[in-house]
Amino acid sequence: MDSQPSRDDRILEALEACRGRDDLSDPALADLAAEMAADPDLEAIHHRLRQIDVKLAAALHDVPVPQRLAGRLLERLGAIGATEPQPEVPAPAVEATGQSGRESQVAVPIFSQRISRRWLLAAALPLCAAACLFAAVWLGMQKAAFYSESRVLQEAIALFREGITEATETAAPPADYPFSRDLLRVAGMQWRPIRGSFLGRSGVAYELPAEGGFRAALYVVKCAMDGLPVAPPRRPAFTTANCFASAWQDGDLLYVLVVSGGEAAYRSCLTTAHGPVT
Amino acid sequence: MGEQCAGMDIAQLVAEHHGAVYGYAYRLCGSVPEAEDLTQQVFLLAQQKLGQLRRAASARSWMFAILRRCFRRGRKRWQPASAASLRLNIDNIPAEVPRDEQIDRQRLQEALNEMPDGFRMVLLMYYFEDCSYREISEKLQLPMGTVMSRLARAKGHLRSRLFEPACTAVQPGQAASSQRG
Repeated sequence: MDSQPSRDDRILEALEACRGRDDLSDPALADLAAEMAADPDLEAIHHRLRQIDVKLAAALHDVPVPQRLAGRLLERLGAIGATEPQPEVPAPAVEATGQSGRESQVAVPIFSQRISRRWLLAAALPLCAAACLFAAVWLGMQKAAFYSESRVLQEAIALFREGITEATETAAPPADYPFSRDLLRVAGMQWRPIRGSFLGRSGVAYELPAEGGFRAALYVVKCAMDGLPVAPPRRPAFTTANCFASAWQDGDLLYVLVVSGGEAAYRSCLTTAHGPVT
Repeated sequence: MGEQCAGMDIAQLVAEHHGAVYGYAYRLCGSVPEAEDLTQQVFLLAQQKLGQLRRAASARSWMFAILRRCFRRGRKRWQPASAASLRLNIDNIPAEVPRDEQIDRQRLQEALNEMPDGFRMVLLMYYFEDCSYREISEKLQLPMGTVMSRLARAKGHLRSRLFEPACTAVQPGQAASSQRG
């Protein structure tokens, strides 16, 4: 690909970006304006592109919203007691369009004025069921499609090398992301939440106290992957630049242990006599 | 919570905008759990920064800006936008405007997932936030040429995945250069 686009390319790019006559007065689209003035075919293409854009924008907005998402969000925000949110949450059928509340009334007035809430609910139930089914199937398909073991380990090592960027927590870690029963618990261990920085997921990072020049961290996220051992192997599955890492699956939790300082340090984190030798 | 602005509190923001924020998040992430996580992050930040919201009318664009920042922060380390990953292509403009039911929703998301983050972000700002190329350039602090290039390529890719079997070729050079001789 040329770093300097040709004039034709620039015109085509402008054609895609231009929304209408107002944009054509922009000096950045001067070439396109000149071409369109001279070429009625180009203007027709532009008009058709705009119509297709409207269709695509509508399709992109059409995202089924998980049931009770608003309620769950409010619960997590600790604001559920502040109001009675459910009556304010838009009807599920309107949610399924990806629009909500006041703005959806502007966008689809016919829906809000002519169709009763009961009808919307009745229509929304099959949609929600279909959305749940789709989500379940999709999650099943996703199981190992996007993450390979080496990618998981490399991401964990990258995170490990970044060091501790967030404050550690003093409260007990969330029960949803427990420390692995296959690793030795040591005094002084700390934890911090993971908020999307590992595989784009939420979870917990346990930091083991650095001793004798080695450092170790355990990352725990909810993620199902095929082909992983069910316990940490006695020898690290991945080694690079003094980092030793392994991943294993325990139920719906993915554990990744990363240790710096040597293979012996890695083994010293494990409880004895378990895990296959890899 | 505590802080309130423009007469809005976080419960009202959730009630009015959770669908739009989730929809945008889903289109960006391509997965239900990641979209839920991202939506939650957005509302958590919105709750913390509610004092910054000056007008209720701009709540949605404010939340979309938070959403983009959260998404970029979570993704930039392992999926950088690579320049010119997609071909510029207007050969695939359908001869007729497709009907709604002709747009396959699953294929639409697949096409989005195939794009590098930088392209997907620009495309969604154009379609989802209704931003002009100039606004996208300002908000993402990217040169306008880069925005136009990514937008054109992303749109071309989307159309090729959605309409390619049914499209009638338009000669890109011909229409644009027919008067140049």
